[in-house]
Amino acid sequence: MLRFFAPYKKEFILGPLFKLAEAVLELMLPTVTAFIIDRGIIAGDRGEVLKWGAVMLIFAVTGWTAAIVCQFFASRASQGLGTDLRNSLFEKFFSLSERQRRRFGSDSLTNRVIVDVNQIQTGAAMVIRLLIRAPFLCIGGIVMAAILNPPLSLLFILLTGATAAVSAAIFFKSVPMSRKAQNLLDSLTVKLRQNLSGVRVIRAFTAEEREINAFRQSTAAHEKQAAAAGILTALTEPTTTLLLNFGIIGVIAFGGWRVRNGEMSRGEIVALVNYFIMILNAFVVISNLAVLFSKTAAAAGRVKEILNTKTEEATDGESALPPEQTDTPLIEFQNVTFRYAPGTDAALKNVSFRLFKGRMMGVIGGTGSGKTTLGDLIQRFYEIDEGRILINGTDIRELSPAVVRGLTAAVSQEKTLFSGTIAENLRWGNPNADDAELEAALRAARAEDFVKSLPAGLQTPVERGGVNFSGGQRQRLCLARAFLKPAPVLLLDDAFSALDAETGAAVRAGVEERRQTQAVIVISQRTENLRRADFILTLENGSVAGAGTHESLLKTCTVYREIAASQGEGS
Amino acid sequence: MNRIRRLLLLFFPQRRTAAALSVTAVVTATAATASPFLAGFAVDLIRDDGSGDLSALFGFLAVLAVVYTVSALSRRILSVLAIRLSFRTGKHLRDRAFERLQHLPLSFFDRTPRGEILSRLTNDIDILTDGLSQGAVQLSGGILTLIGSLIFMLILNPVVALVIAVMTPISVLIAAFITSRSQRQFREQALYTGRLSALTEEAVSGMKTIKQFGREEKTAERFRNLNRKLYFCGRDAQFYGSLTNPTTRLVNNTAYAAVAVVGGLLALRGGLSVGQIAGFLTYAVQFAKPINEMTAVLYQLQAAGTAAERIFELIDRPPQPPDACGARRLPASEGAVRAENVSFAYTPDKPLIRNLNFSVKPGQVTAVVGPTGAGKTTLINLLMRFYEIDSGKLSLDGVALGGYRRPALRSSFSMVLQETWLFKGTVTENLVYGRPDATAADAEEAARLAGADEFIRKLPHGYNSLIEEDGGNLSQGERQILTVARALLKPAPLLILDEATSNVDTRTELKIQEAFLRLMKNKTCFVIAHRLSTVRNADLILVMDNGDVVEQGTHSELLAKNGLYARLYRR
Repeated sequence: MLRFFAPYKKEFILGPLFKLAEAVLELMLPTVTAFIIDRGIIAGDRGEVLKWGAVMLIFAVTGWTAAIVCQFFASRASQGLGTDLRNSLFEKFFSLSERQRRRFGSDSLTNRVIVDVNQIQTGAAMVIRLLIRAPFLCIGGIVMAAILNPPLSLLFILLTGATAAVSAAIFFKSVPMSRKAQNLLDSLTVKLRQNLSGVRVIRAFTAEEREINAFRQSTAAHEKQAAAAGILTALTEPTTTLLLNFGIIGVIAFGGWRVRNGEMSRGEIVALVNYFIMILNAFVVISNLAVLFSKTAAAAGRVKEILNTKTEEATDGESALPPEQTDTPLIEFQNVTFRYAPGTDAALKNVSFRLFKGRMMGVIGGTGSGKTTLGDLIQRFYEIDEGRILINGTDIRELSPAVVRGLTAAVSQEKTLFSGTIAENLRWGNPNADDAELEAALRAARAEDFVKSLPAGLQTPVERGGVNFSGGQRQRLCLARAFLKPAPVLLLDDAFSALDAETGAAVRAGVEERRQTQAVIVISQRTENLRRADFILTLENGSVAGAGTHESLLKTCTVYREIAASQGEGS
Repeated sequence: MNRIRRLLLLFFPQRRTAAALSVTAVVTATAATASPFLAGFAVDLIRDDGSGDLSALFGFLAVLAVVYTVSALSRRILSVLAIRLSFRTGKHLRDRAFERLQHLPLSFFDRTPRGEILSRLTNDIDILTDGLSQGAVQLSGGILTLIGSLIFMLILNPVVALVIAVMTPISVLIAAFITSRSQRQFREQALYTGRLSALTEEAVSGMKTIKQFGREEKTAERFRNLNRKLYFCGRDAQFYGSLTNPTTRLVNNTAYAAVAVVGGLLALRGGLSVGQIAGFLTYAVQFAKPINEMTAVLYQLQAAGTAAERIFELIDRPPQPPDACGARRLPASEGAVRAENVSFAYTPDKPLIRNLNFSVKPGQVTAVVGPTGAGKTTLINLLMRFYEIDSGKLSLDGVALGGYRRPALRSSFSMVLQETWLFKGTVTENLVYGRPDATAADAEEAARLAGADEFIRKLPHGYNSLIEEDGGNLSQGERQILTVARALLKPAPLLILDEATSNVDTRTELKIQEAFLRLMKNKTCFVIAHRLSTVRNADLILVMDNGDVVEQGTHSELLAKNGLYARLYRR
């Protein structure tokens, strides 16, 4: 994390220095006041009153200038730091594996870039603006008191120390309480969200009253905890005020005695009282800062968690694809075994196959059988544990992920589109494609008609996540995007699921034709999509339960036959 | 005005607390404003020539100590009361809103986004109670402090009081001017933050696709560009925004200097004592504080007002009409359903079901079929009285549905929907949700019958395993089977069943189908049918299209009719 501060060293040093200058001047004010009283009023000198008044004014204006300079540094450094952090976090996201990304969740990752970094920015600005100033005013107040009147400064140290101890004790005790209150609020939110999503079921079971009672218990628990935490935190203010007010009484009492003995002036008493008030105000700032910094620390922790996450994505490897050879398979799995985490069940066990150019491979199996994992491994989204994956005869680990992914044009289950226009989305497949090529791809994906029916056609805006299109339309656009990508392998993972039977059949026929130029992999849990594949890999709990054509598998593979039967086919 | 009255009424249940709060607020403000006056008086009891009477000084300081203690105590009581009041009111509001939610018609939930309701019950209530407790306390405290300080200052010396009373509003005006200047930058910053957040969210959730098409660099570039824009407006916003503090401080310090000089000159003429100057110096600082905070407080109150409006809008919504007073309290025992000329529309201008007639004998199976989006769930909505029919008669065992109390009517049905709603709790808790008096043995029996026993036992804690909010530890198929077991536990003569099993592979679907068949035994069933066997064996088939029932009859009758059903069937 520290490395992010390095570019702003200048600001982080100069900013607080200027702030310090302002604080020094502010610190002088009560002393100057004492001069006005002692040298001016009590001595009866009008000129002294005006002179020191002018000094006060100069201090005020100079202090303001210094503060402005500090704010300038603070905003430049904190926003710059935040901007750098956001860039780094975002780049880091690319090296997270799919599994890591899902574990954190999109919302959480987005929040770290936006909300947490924002908190860090605020914290960093406060470091520059207040971290030096507030303690300096505290300590400086004591030092000035010591200069004005050494014996009385002991009282200052004592009371300031006591105040610090009290507020620190309250702070540390209140932090876990507030966290507990926050957790109770979270569980209350969970209850509420569940109630909303299950409204039909709840009413069907006539459980409304039970839900109300359970919710009341939740709100009561939260109220109790949150109030307790709040009441404890609110103890700081009256306690510190009381302690410092007693300090003022002490100053006047002790000072009165010393003035009578001629050891001190009344102006000094006024100055000391003002220093006490200054310390009090600085203390309020410090306790606010403590809250702010504990929040910032939590935010920094969440950001650091991402930055320090060990990347599961490979970053190494050759940046050129090995040349195709006629007798070598385009993709070959040799006894591939893969686990998502060490010690867990293998997601794929001992899988082997060879896919040649001009061939179509099908992958079938139930949910959780490892179909999608197999597709992910082909694209080097994960590193395998045992066995080898060969691309044109070269081990996949010797090739950079970018090269490996250039090999496949993929459609995945998620049907992801991005904000922009339809044309922009399609050109992800091939940035150089002209409109005619886009239209050809749309035709192949049976998307031409609906795109043409849109008023803006290819230039129709795609909203975030493609929400302005139906699932079927999104899937067809994803297919078209993959068709445009000039890659040796076409990889379709559950890519017909949102299409109606007729459209699905038409697109499938087109895909089967693509064998002339590409190797095709179709992952599906329906046999109808794979019937014309050259061979089908049947997966069951990560293992190959059978491989062969549709007809041969129906004869030899029980799992395949069961799948087919459950879809009303075969037997 | 009405809104303010509502808000005040909110405190009515806690009127004693609120009254005590007002009293302590006055005490706190009086003590706070009197202390500088008293401290100044004490300073004047000190004589430079040593002639002063120390016992008078000490006696007066004792009084001052009492004032400070009272001030701290009342401040403490004030904050405790304010916190209690605010959290109590928050809980009360949450409970009321939640209770109202349980009695709102289903149409509200179908039309209002879930996040919208959630944020009203969480954020808005927090904003409201914070605003009321902190905002109102600060505002009233601030006004009282202003008035009190002004009175004491006028007593001390009208001329110096005037200096402070004029200088302070100037500082506020300057602060307001700067704030209005920085508004534009803050708006721009919010705009770019929003855009960056959207971009991040999109990129993170579409990461797999980005990698598949090698768009990492392009996406990062888009991010960096937007981030850079955010840097510039964020930096400016922060800089201009942070000008307020030093600038008000400049004006305050100038006021401080002015008080010292004017006071000093007056003192030279004998019009003011040293102690009085000291008092004024404190007032100069104290007077500015509430005015400086006013902008923030007003903003907070304004936000609270908006939040209140949103909460009241929810609480004031008319609940579903109560059950008729003579309505039947007992559930149906037979399960005969009859529709006579039933008409229904979700919105008056779009009539859906027109003149529906059908009759089902106890134990018969009714299949509801039709293309996607035909409105098959409408019938369920009507049978469960999630929505009320517009005209005609829908009766159960010869009694119109409206003639039952809702709990009685809904107890007559078991229900399994496509959305497999389970709540965060143990497996057993979820199973007995429909029959809270069921024993653990009953739950296991139902689980066995549904075919869930086997996988439940494999969970880490068997029947006591916790089901996560999103059901992450169960597969879609397992969740579905659990909902079947839950429905099995509920003794009801009728069943509503949605056969759709999305995201489940076809072999798991077969297992679920078996569970469904067991559930359907001996019940009058309404099935949203997706399986041919169910449809073919149904006693009555309702064919829906565009929200209306367009055909009905048995399988053979409908085939003979050669209408929509025949077309759907043959496809």
